[in-house]
Amino acid sequence: MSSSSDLIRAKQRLFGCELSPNDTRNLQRFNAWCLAWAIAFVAATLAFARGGVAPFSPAAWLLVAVPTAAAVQVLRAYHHFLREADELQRKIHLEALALGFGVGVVFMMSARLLSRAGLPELDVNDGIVVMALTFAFGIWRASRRYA
Amino acid sequence: MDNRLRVLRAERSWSQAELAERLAVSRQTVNAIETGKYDPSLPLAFRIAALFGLAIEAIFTPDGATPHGPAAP
Repeated sequence: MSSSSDLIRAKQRLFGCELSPNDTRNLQRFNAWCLAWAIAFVAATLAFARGGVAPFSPAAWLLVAVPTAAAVQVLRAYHHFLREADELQRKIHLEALALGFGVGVVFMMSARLLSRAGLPELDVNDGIVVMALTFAFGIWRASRRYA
Repeated sequence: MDNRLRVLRAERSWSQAELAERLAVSRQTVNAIETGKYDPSLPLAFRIAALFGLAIEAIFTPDGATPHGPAAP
């Protein structure tokens, strides 16, 4: 967990926010589930890409179920963090979530229209990346505001 | 909203970190309240009032008002 603590401390320095020990512990749990999700997702993607996994086979369902279960745990860990978070941290995260969600929806809806107007069609992953980057920017901006 | 948190803390010679620990919040929260960047929730305002042994309105006042007094026009 020490590397996870270092990661959280680095994030705190970068974003200019301070976390209580309880928030740090809850974010460590969240980070651990994020890592598990990422590993499961990449492993499943590689397994499907290699071929040999028959559609609707137990192996195919397993390759979908494991990353999805990890993703649900990520959501639960983040929800737990938000519920127990220091109230200013909760406000910062909710503001960042609202910004990320709003910009992500606008981006994806606009991207659909732009693709009909002749621009290259964007992947759903592009929308997720925009959401994630906007969320990170929102955390940074709100942390600076209340610093 | 104005508040006297910094004055009350200074009277007791507490650091922001000490006050934060007593209130079970982060130091950033105490700093944001003291500088007027963040208004605490009602439960936290009650905890602050209880910690200093004062009524909430003796610590927090609407912008421009004096403690216990009406808001300035």
